[in-house]
Amino acid sequence: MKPSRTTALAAGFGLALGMLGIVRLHHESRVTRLQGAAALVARTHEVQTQLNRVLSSVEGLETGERGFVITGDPMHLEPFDVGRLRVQDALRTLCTLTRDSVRQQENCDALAPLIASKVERSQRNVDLRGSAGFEAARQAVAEGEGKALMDQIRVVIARMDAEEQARLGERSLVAAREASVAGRLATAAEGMGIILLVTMFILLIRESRMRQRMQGQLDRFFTLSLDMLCIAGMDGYFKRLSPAFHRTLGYTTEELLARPFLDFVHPDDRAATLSEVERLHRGIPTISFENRYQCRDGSWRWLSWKSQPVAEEGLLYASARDITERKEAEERIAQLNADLQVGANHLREVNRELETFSYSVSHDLRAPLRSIDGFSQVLLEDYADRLDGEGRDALQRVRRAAATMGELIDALLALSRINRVQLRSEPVDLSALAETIAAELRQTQPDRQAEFVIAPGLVVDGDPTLLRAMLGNLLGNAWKYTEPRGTARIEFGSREGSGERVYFVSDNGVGFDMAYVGKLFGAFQRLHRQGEFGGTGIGLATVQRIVHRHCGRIWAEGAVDQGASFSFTLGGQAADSGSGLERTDVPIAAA
Amino acid sequence: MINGTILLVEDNPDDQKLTLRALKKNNILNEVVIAEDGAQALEYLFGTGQYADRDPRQRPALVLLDLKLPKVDGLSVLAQIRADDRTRTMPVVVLTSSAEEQDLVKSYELGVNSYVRKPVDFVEFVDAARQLGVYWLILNAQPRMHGL
Repeated sequence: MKPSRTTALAAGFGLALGMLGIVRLHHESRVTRLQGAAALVARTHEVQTQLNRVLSSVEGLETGERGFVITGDPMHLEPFDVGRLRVQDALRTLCTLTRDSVRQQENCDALAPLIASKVERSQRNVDLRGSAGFEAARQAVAEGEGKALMDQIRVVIARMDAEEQARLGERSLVAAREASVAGRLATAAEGMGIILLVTMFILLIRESRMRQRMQGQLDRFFTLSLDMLCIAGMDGYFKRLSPAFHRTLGYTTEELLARPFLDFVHPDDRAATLSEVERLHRGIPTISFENRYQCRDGSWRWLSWKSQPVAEEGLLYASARDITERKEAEERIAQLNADLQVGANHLREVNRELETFSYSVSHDLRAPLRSIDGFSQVLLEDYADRLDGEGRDALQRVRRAAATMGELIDALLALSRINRVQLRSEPVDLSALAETIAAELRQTQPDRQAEFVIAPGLVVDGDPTLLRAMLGNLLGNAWKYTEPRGTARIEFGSREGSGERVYFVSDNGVGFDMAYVGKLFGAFQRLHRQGEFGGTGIGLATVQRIVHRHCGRIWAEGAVDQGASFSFTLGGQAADSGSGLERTDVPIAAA
Repeated sequence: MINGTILLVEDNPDDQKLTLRALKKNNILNEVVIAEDGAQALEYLFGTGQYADRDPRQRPALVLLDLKLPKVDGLSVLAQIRADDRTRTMPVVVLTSSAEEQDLVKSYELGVNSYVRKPVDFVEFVDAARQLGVYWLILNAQPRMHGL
């Protein structure tokens, strides 16, 4: 249940309790009021009693006085004395009882002198009867003064009685009004309380229904989930399993519940599983834990676990995912990586051997060449007189061959060095380089008619030394193969290819047959006889390697006697090192 | 110094002979002592081993040093020449077949005075020998520390 809903229910019950409290308070106040009203009535009766006592005392006093006046018998003086004493007592009591009313006090104040005068008058008549006889007393009575006083007393008492009656009525009215307000309040509170209780009841019923619905939803998710969901006890047994367990492992849920779950774990994974369960016991959730579970058919599945312990329930809530395929893929990738590593190590080994080889080529192959050339020269110088023309020509040929082989060795070493040197990367002005190379070429044959068309401002990032060698080779080739033309035209420029800049060197030279384009970039591959054009056959292989080390491509177009065009891209950053793995657009013959 | 000794450290007999011829062609008539490997060259320079009776203070005017040598290679010989006070200022020219960048860089790091790659063409070699002789035996003033 949501806290807000709990709060609402608690508040509802609180309110209902409050309403009941109000009703109870009302009852208490009504009892108090009833008691108050009863006391009021009793007091009114007491006042009336005292009024009657005053009146009857005065009447008793008057009766005694008259009896004595008429008869002169002292027997009548007894009621007279009793009345005289009692009237004072009654008057005191009356005045005390009516102290809370101003008007009754006024009446008391009026009554007291009247009674005093009456008592005094009567005493005088009694005294007169005693001293002057019947006739004198009769006359005094007959004067009527006593009767007038008596009438006044009666009037005041009647007034007080009426006043008391009025007060009683008035108080009852106020009490009744108050009672009616409190009664309505109590009724309202009672009603509210009932409404609230009914509302609470409805809410609780709704809540219970919602819980049932949520339970149903949870159960459906539990059943539907592709992941394996389970609840396990700290005792090492599963308590509840989603059907995915059965689908993945093949065991029935009953079989899985019957044995400790560790029984199903791969023996090699048990120690790790136990320590993970130990962590869960200590309240540490499992984020990602992998182990193998046995299937009914004896095979193993890799499961990845995520679990949360709930200590107060003594339970583990866990979900597992079958990652067997991923694991197998990872193993395959690891195997492939290992294979690749072996291959890379092999390549490194080969590369090292190649370096050693080229180093000894540089040293050891050149030494005998120097001997061949040197001693041929010795013969030509020291034994010239003993050699005829043919002999000298033979020695010259030996020397030329040695020179050619020296060049070939140097070219080969230069080619292998391209892959071995550490590449630099800095802005290189290809246009300026091309101008310099063109000037150098013109100097070698100042008599040739040649036109160089070089686009200005072509700057790239790359290794200046290698890029110079590349341009030197391409322009040198163009220079060489345009020699038979009357006027050579050699162009260096660039154009926008498909999203990349393409540079080109083209000429109007002898060109080549596109059928042999595949041989163009191979080391020692030549499309022309040695007699036609000089060269080692290594220049374009060198160019291609330089382009590849700059992550670029190179290709050629041409036709016999139609000139040739070499296009290349420079992929931006330079390749790291000559690992021996490089892009090959055109197969390179083994160097 | 025109009459000083030249120490040629070279294991290849053909190269020994051709070098001697190239020097002679240029009328460089200094005495040439040949060491066939690095160890022999060091014994000669420091008066040890078979040269125990030689006075090491008699320094050669020039050492022509091959790099690829039996026993002790040329770079080690160069390092030991530069490490010893007696030979520190002696002119050493590396004369080798190798055009490898690494050999060139190491030689200069160790304080070689010149690095000459032996050309295949003997005529070119004779010319190189002439230039070496002119510079190191005639023009150069001793003693000098490193550098040309």
